[in-house]
Amino acid sequence: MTLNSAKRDELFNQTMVEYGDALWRLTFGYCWRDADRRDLYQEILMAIWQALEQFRTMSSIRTYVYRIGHNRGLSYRAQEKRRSHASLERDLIPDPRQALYKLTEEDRRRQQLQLAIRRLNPSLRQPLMLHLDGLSNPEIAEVVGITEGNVAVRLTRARKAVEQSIRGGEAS
Amino acid sequence: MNNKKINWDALAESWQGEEPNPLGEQSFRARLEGRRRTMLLVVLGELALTIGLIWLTISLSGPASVGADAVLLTVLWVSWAVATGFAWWNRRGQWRVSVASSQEFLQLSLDRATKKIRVARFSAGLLILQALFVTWLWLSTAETGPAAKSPSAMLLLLLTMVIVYTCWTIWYYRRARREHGHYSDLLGSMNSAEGQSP
Repeated sequence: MTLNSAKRDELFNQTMVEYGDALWRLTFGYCWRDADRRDLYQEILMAIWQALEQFRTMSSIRTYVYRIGHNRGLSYRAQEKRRSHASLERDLIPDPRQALYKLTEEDRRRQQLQLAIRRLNPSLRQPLMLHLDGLSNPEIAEVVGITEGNVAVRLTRARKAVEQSIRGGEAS
Repeated sequence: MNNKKINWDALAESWQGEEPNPLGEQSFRARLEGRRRTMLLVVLGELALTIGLIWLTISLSGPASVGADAVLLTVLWVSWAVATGFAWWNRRGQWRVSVASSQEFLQLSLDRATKKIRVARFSAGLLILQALFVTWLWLSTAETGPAAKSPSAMLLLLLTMVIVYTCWTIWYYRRARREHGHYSDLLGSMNSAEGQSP
């Protein structure tokens, strides 16, 4: 059974109100440049719009939306034709012209966390981002397609790697 | 080494406190409209091709049609049927992959890339067969066949088609190989769970 146009529109608007910001944060795990993030965000919305037609109301919209978002992110990287791996790595380094002294403690902490997350292997990055967004381990397992035990192991490793990265950043 | 304890609750709060998404609904609606227009153009293009093929069939299969025309038409329709059948068979099991879990999605994307490589090989094979057939038809019906009236124009048309088709096949094959490599690497790293990005 498929949703009719009006219902799909309503569900889409509701989804955007509820998960729009989370999906914007999600793009951070797959794109480094702001323009790419915007592009990916639009692609995710498009994919959600298309998939909502087949959405069954018994399913959880939360994991449904995250699954589509992460899958679109994974395939978006495959389409980055013109950008070499080296140029992607260069983007990991913050712009030195950025006035760091103007950043608040909160901004600085977020920037450190974002840099640490960017350096993670996708297998650790994805569960950690979902965890930081407040998803439970069973929900993360459903989105990623691994067991709950595996989620716990990956989260432990991801936390350790991020802590090391943040401490390393603070020390330098 | 700095051993200060990391506060993960504060980090999560900080993560969720990123500035809200800067894109309004309007830009999405504009892109959606653009996608709809593209889809409409694709459908119209396919319709035009089908009508063209039918028109060609009708105009060449009249009572005055020569043997070479009939052979050419038969091969054209058989090629069309084989290509459509192959495309349908090759796409099976590939619908609605976006809502699968990431692991399933990566596996399906890898399968899809493999199938794209198969498409490129199939296209190359079909191109070679058709080129051989057209050459044979040309040589065997040089006096009365379709190329008899203006052989140079016909040759130019055929060469252009072969070059365009070959370029497309090479481009498609390279793109499919790159996608395959990407998903293969990603699936490998998703299964390895070993810390830092390569």
